[in-house]
Amino acid sequence: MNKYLDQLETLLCEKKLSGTVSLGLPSCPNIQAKTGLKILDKHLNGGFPRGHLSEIIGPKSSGRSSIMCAALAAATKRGEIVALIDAVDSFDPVSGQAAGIELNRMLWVRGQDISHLHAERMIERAIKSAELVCRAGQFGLVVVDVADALPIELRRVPSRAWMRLARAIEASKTVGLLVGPVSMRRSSTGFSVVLTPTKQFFRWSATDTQRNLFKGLEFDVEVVSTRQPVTVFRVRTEC
Amino acid sequence: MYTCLYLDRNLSKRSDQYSTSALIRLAQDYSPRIELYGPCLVMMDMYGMNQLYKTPQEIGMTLRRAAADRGLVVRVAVSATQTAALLITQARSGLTIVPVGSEAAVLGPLPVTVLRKLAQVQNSNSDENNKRQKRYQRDLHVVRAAMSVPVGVCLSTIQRWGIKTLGELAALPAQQLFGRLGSIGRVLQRIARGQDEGPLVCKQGRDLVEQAVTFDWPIDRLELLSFELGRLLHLLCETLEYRGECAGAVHIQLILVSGEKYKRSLRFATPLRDAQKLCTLILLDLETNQLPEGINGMTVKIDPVPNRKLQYSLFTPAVPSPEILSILVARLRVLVGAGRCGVAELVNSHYPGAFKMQEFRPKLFEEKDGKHCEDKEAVLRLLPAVIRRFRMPVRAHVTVGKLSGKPVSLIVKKQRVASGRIVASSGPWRSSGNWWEGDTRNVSRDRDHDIASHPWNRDEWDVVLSGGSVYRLFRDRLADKWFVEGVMD
Repeated sequence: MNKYLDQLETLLCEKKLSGTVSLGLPSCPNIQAKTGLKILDKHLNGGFPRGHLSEIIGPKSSGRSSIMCAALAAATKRGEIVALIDAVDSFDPVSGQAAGIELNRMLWVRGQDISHLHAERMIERAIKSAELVCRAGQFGLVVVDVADALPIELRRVPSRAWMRLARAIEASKTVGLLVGPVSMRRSSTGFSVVLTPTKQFFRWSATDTQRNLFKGLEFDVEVVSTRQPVTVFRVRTEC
Repeated sequence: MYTCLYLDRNLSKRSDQYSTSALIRLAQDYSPRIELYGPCLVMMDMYGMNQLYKTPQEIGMTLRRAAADRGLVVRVAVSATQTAALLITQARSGLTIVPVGSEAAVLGPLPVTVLRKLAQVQNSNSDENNKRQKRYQRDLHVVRAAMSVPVGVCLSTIQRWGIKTLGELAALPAQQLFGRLGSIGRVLQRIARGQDEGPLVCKQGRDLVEQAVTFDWPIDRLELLSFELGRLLHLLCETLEYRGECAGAVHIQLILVSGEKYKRSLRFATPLRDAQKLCTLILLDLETNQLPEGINGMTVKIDPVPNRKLQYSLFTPAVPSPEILSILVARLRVLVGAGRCGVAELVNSHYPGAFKMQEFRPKLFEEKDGKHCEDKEAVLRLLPAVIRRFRMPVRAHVTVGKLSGKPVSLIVKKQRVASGRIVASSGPWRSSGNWWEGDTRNVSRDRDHDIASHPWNRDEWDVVLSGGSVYRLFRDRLADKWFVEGVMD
């Protein structure tokens, strides 16, 4: 039985269809891209898988951008070239550099402000940009940030657009990372990192309410994958 | 086969500078491989010309006729060696053909003083102050050491021995000549026999990488233009390849039906020499900037730059090639607009979130301390808090508590920014700057670096809404208005 399964998997890999089924290993051997956060890497079995689409999902102020910046920073520190497709132009370079991103190694594609454009068109444009970047090759991490889009707008995006993007990443050494409020399109071997703010999700530097500083956020992280059981842990951000 | 052109300056009414330039242009019209030996003295490599002209006689006659058409009276010598051709032009006027293998026999009757004459021609540099001449002199080898040095030192000695012709000099025993004059004597003897001391060293001027075309009828579509553009770029890239150079920039000039000229210039992050990639970049640029209608002609000019030299490492991650990156960025510009794709560079300003966009030119990753990149992966204990910034701050209505002076509620009309009761807040954190620049109310926020260079004066607050999100607000103290700057995420 295993022999036939291996043959089938080999055939699917040859035809570049390995992303459509859940295989034991990602199509690119070895290869996980660490996020830089030790606890998250542990639950991701070493990091986000290369050649596959993973996603970071959560509402506002749930730490999505923090994890995204951590992954970008880790990739640039490894010497990789990364790309951030910022669909609504909301990335803050000052925060990014403070998070450790080497900005000169990050291609930043800025979309239009969401008020200037139909949201669906804006998202499709972001996906198209990501596809172009992936097809250029040799990018270590490509992030599509559509975190400010509404869930209904994301659902209106034709599934073929996500499929094209997944196909462009397939069998490459690029990690595809989608950041949004709801699940979009994860590869079979990719991970969904679902973030939920805790009850007391914001933290101040002091108990004195007169002169306290915003210190960071606290949220629960749920790692979802078809290959392993769901795991949950808690993470804090700090200014 | 080499052809030497020498412009007799006594017969020419024009200045040496003009004559030399004209002679170079004439030579370049017939051969891509030329070398300037001195003012009005040009050597041409005629390799392959026998397919166009049957005999050397025909080549020489053609060159003399072409020169006469341009008002130049030239001496022409065609020979299998450069040395023989050079010496003959100094001694004989008109056209001289030296049969292959009989260079020494032809040179034999010439007086040895022809060597001095040649040296004088090479060393006379009356056009030293002329810029054009200087440029050519930089690019082309003017005088060869082997041809100019021995003459002045040894010629009088040889004449004292009673040697009067080149044939007599060539017939001297080589060992004894070497014993008396050293290696210079051997060099002089080889010259007298018409033997070359080195190959032709040719280079061309740097201002000739240009092609132009005029269309039979006006073109108004990019697809039609691309065919001609591709053809011209192929020709230009062949020239660049021949020179061992690349394109640092491309200048396109489109001549419109109205007679106007539409110009575009593209400067590349890295030198390119691939015609197809250059064509793609130019077409993408024209597509981004709205191709004008009715094009009658086109001129493509390339700024040549030296070829790039790169040393890759086995231990650093692979990065996309500069050519691919250039095309990628050009495609992204078409998609998202110019100035919205590149690298963020922080500017030296206290304005919150100030940055400017730069071109994406990633450098090769440098290893530090001899460690491989796997050893240097960042490990975070705590995640950094990050703000998602609204590039255009969102106007908000904020109610401030009368007793506490803190914001208590936030109302925003924009759909994507939450409104609600503020359950916790931190502030105010006052900041101001560039107050010496003028009024802040007419600030154009179209460009990011413009914002950073204009005055600001504001109180910032971090607020937590009852709905469960953390926003950064600020009150513009000059306009007395509240704005939402971003959301902590």
